[in-house]
Amino acid sequence: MTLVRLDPDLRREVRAILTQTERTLGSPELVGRGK
Amino acid sequence: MLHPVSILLPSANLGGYSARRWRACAVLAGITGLALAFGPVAANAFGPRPQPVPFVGCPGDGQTGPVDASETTGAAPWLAGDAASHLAYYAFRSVGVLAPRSWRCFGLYGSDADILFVTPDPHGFEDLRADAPKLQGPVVVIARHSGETSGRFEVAAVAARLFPAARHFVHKVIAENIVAASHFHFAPYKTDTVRRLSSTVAEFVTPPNRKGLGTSDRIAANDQPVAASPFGCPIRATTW
Repeated sequence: MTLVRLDPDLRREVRAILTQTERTLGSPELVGRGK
Repeated sequence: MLHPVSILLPSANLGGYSARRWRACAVLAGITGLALAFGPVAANAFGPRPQPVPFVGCPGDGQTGPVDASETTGAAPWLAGDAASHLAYYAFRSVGVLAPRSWRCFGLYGSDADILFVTPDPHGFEDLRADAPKLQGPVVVIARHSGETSGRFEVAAVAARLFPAARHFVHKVIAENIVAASHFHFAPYKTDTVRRLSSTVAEFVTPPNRKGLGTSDRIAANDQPVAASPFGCPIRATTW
């Protein structure tokens, strides 16, 4: 689990941290599937 | 039993740890951080002009003593977008996560979990351990708990909150009578916003100044929310 709390002036960085993973995975389902 | 590390770190080498296979529900596992793409080919899939993000190995301490920062090595992920120039990839043993550049990092480890804290100011074992005061300021934390070791209690506690599909696993942990049944709650915190992406994957936000999953452990509530990126248990619900 990744938890993020950054000051408002770093909002863009928060978005990047939270969204890049989902983009990379393509589908969050992949996380649940594993292999 | 499934092994998430093999799929989440296809090309990264986190020192001797990349080959380590957690024979567990590595749940609630900050697998999200590990799931970043490594290498320009992967980065091209989600945006133009990818840039390498610096890789920062982090020191830590735990069950068998201190770990030097140089013991965790690996490839720098490539990211697209302006934010990439402000971020670095911090890694400790089996976990890694993006966070603002030039921050400080420190990891804790044991048979239960690998946990990495990234903060503007330096922290060490004494002020990150479970009985120390909670962290007050900005922070990025990634935690990866094993569902087969003593980490199963944390896994079960979070799974009870978020994943009805894990109900059987949670009840098995409760039946051990090691941790009181009252420790496990089969519903999210009332003020948390939870988005369930599948039966075993979810994300959530704990709002400012509220007790929630984001502030139930090492992070103190303050006037900023705590957000969790999608995470889950890479194991089939039927095997729990």
